[in-house]
Amino acid sequence: MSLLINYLLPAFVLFAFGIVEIFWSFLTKENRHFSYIAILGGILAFILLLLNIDEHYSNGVFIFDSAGTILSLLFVFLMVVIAFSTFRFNYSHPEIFYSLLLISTGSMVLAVYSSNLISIFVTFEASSMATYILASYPKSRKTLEASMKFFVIGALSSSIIIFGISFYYISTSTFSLGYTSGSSLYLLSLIFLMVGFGFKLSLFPFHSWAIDTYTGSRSPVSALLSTSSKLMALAIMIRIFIFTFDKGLSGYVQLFFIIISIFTMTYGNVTALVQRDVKRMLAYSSVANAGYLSLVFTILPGSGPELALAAIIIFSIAYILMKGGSFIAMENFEDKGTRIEDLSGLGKKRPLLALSFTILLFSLAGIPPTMGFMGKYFLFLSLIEGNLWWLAIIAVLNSAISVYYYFRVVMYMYWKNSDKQISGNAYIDYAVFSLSILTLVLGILIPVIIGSFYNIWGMIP
Amino acid sequence: MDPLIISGILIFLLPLIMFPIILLLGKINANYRKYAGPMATSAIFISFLLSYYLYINGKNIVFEGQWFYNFTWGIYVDPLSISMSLMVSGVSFLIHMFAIGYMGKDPNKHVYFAETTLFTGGMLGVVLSSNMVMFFLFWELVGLCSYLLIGFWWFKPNAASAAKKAFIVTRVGDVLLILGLAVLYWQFIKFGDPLSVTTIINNAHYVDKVQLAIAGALILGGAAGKSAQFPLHVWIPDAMEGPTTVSALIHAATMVTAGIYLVARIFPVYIFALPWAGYLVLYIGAFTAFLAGTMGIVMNDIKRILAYSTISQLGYMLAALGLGIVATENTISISIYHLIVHAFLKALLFLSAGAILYSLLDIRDIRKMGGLWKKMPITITAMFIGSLTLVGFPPTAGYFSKDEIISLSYFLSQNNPGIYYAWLLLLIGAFLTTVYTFRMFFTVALGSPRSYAAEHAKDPPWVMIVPLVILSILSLIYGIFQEDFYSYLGEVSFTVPIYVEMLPFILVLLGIYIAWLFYGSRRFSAESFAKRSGILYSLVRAKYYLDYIYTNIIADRVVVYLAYAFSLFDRYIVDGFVNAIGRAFNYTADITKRLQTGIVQNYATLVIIGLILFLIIGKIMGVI
Repeated sequence: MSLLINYLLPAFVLFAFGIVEIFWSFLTKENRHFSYIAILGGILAFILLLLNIDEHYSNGVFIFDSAGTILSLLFVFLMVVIAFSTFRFNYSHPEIFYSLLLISTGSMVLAVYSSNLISIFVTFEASSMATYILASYPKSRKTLEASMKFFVIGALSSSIIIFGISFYYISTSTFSLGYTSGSSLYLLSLIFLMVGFGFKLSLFPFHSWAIDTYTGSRSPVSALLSTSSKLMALAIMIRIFIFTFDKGLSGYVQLFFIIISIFTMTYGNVTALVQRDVKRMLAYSSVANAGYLSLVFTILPGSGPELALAAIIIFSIAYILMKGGSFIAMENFEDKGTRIEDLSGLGKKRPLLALSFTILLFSLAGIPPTMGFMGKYFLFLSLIEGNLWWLAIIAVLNSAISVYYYFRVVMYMYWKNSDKQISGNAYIDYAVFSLSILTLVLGILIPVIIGSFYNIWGMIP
Repeated sequence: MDPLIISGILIFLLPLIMFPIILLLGKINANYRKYAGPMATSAIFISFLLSYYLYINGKNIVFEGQWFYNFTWGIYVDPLSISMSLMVSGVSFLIHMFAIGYMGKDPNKHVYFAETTLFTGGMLGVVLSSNMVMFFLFWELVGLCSYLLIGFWWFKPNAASAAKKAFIVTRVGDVLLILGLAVLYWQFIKFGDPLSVTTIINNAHYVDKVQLAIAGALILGGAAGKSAQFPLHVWIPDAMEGPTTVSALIHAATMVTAGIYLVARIFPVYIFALPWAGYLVLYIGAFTAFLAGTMGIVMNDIKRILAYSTISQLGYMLAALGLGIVATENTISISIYHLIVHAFLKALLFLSAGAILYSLLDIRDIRKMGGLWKKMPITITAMFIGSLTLVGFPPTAGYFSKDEIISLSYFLSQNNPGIYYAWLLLLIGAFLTTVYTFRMFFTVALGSPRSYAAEHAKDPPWVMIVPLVILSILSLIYGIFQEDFYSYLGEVSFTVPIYVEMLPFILVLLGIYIAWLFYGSRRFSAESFAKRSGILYSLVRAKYYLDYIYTNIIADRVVVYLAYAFSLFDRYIVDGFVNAIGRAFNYTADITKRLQTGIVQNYATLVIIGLILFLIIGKIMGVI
């Protein structure tokens, strides 16, 4: 298996099924058909990706490594779960939703494998375009507003990325990653790239769109936007910035990321404290988690980035499970309101959903033995090993603050009562339940298999 | 793994596994509750067989597995722990068998048997632990079981408060114990695996004597709490509110000996410590032996008399260890021999008391008994044998165990005058033991029945008689194993003049005669004698006002006010601080959330501002 096509096949399968969706719409308009096709395509891509899990291959444009494959597996897995949970969707033009779901996931798969700024930009934009439209599905004032804000800031960021890419080309005379230069233009390009991709990762102060878009768009779309799309940006940034730390620039780049991560964590967590809307709270916590994710860039120049790079993969797995699951769970409340009072008495009305959501919130808060704890544990451990113990303390304090607003939701679910009916269907419950069970099982399993997460990133200088 | 190691682990694991099974079985269906007793009894019998298997096959087995941090878990099997484990499982088996009859009518007997099984597992765990951390966990487990079982009849207010008292008083000891373990950890950390029994025993002589003495004294505090030594003995008499089988199992034969076992287990710590630690052990033991004896004389509750007797005999065991420490001799075998003999005889006495209570419908006042020898001959004969063994009448086992301790104290005081007073205390203690034992026996067995229940008493069913008979035989003949036991556990040999050796026996005879005069033939009236003793009598009768001091002065006057002060501190300072932090974050959040205007132009401006700020930082740092 060393032919390029073998590595590209999973993404192409996703694209192909996306096109099949369009054609299928000529036959029927029933939502479940499209859901089936998306699940089928996702499972096929998942299996093809699994075949590549131990393979390493690179040419100038793409680098196929285990880290990219694991992230792609996560994207495809989440896409399948979203397709499953939206089985009972009943809006016009379902083919658009599922087709864009498949195409955006396929683009993300290609994006995490890219190792050339041009291919990065093309795949990044492809997934962004797909998600701009997804954010506006199903058509309503709220979703259109969310999509519009997303698009405006996205367009601005794309222009900044293009600036960054041109500075990169000027200073290194190539678009390929892995080339560095001591010139000031090179650092300028890094700042532009950091800002441009930081928008997608919702780093402070480029986060504002994220709050409105995550809150405004439909919950399964928010699940996609706040997890897969973010982790794609994270992987791209890791591939770009991993080379910048051995050329005398490490101090400056590290400083930028330390400032960004502290502000992002603290801003997200503190502002989440006063949110009364659960979906908005999850959006803020997603910003806070972007802060945790960006901690990896502060460790890379430290004493051996192996632990940090393994930790970020573990945290990514945790993040996609818990954040994706939480947003999918919110789909139940879309029609009747997502304020915290609307969750009252969920423990009695929908015990399975309440239990699964509680596990996911515990995981977000970082309570052992969930996956969320393991992710944070290894990430903060690598901070301490990189002599950034004070940053680890700030991160732990932030994590402690977050417990408050996550547990408030749990409290409302189990200790408050209301007569309000809750809509939603069993497919959502099963999707959330499977994610919460995975959170628990992997949380217990990860300490045993942590060793296999070392050295899975290709092209480490 | 080695079958010996597996069986060593199974000894305590098996009862622990049986605990949830018995409990669940009784919960699922009330009809299954009748199997709880036989199940528990057979599980403990298997533990006994496994202990016996270890006894015949291995003398020293140490197994240690990695646990957490730098601690290990495992089993430490040597003659000391094998003999303890044989005694615990054997006596526990007999008492469980007795309890099948005794608890037969109780609706919650599955809970009872589940808890006693858990207790037995915990106690066997205490005995076999190879590490002090594991030891401490099991130690707390048996404390918990003791609490649960004392309060087993929770609807009796006395039982509920007695359970709390036992728990709180032993907690005082446990705090001292954990401090002592901390000192040991600190001192032994340099030898690796700091709290392993092996490490402590092998390396004690390398450690600073002062630290060892401090650790020893603190650990002695824990042992005193568990083994009811002065001044922490006050919980045992109240603990008699539980079922009599519980008193026999936990508060006579097994759990209360855990403290003695603890001191014996880490004997080298005391041996290599400064001498004052040894004197502390010796005199706490000897003084308790004397003090509890005086209180035993004035009690009227049959179980409380036995409780004070237990305290007194535990004092003998501790004193025997103290003698060895002070004189640098290995006296573990003497102490443990008395421990085992005492387990047999005290289980016997408690079980016969239980049989009496069973027929007399829980009348515990000995003044309402009388003439029972004719009514329930087997039970009272068993009690007679138990009493003779307790006072050390030759040739019962008690003669070989207790008089040995008294003779040893005389022998050692020849070279070390500091021990002389211990000999005196122990000697007087032997006399007091005789007086209170036969006071109880004569009042219960002779004369005429003094209540309706006593007139209609009869021997209990066979399932309760069999353990009595077995324990009687053991109490009578166990003396012939004395030499074998000493050679198994560690030889001690000494000789004392014949008149010293005869002295305890003479005192026993004298004691029986005095008890006969007062309570057997009733030639003298005990009441008028008590009146004439005046203040001395009321002092003893009020248990030296120790309970008063603990409850009314220390608890009510000091602890309550301290607790109030702490609660104020907690409410206003700690909570205030926490609330202030929470409020500060909320205010901050109210400001930061204004950043989210909902207007997309502002967001774009923010992105540009962010970009420009980073460019400015880069410019300031001079890299762009």
